[in-house]
Amino acid sequence: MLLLLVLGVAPVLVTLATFALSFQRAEHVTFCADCHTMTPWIADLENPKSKSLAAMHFGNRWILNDQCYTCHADYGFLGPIRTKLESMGHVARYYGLMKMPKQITLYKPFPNSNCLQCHGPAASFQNNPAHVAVMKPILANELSCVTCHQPIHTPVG
Amino acid sequence: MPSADSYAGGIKDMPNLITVALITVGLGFLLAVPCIVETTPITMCLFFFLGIPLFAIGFLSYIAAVVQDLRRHEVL
Repeated sequence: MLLLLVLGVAPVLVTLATFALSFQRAEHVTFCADCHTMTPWIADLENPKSKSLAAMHFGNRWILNDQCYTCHADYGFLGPIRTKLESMGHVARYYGLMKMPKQITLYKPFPNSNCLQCHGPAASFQNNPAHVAVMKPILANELSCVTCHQPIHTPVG
Repeated sequence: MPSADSYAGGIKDMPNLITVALITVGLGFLLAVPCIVETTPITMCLFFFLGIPLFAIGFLSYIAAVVQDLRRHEVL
């Protein structure tokens, strides 16, 4: 019975605890910054003179915590889970288990839902005449927010 | 089912599979510690890609030892 506990039950409990803890910690900006690939993006984020959307959101604390994850997790039923699984792929690629792309790119066009999760209900967004004119294609993800709102990132170095 | 009490004579009396299981699971626990203390891509990668497979190998070795034991006692 002791062997079953040590070799069967304890590893499952440790794995579940480590999963929960590490996936929660992996949402922090410091975790993203650990990979050297991200250094230019983090430098931009922390640059107070940068006018990129990412730096403005970070510097002004428009997003309080976990700024990378807040914008880059797709919001839907399985979005955050898929994002975490994709992140595991990034870690594996970075440490050589798979081929690391020379230039990092998004898997798919940036979905408006990532912006609208915060901006969508805001009066400043809903009452803005520029938005009102194109509200339908914005909500249908046919017109991307980033078409007008640029630059998103200005990686340094 | 083999239990820790069955091996009162120490590690020499333990089937090889149980020894392998204890070593691999022990290594898995060792890899979990840095990930729990400070989660970085390195510690996370080590635990997820090495620690969890070690747990699996340990558990499968234990199951194999149990099956061997049952066969030896002609239960299976």
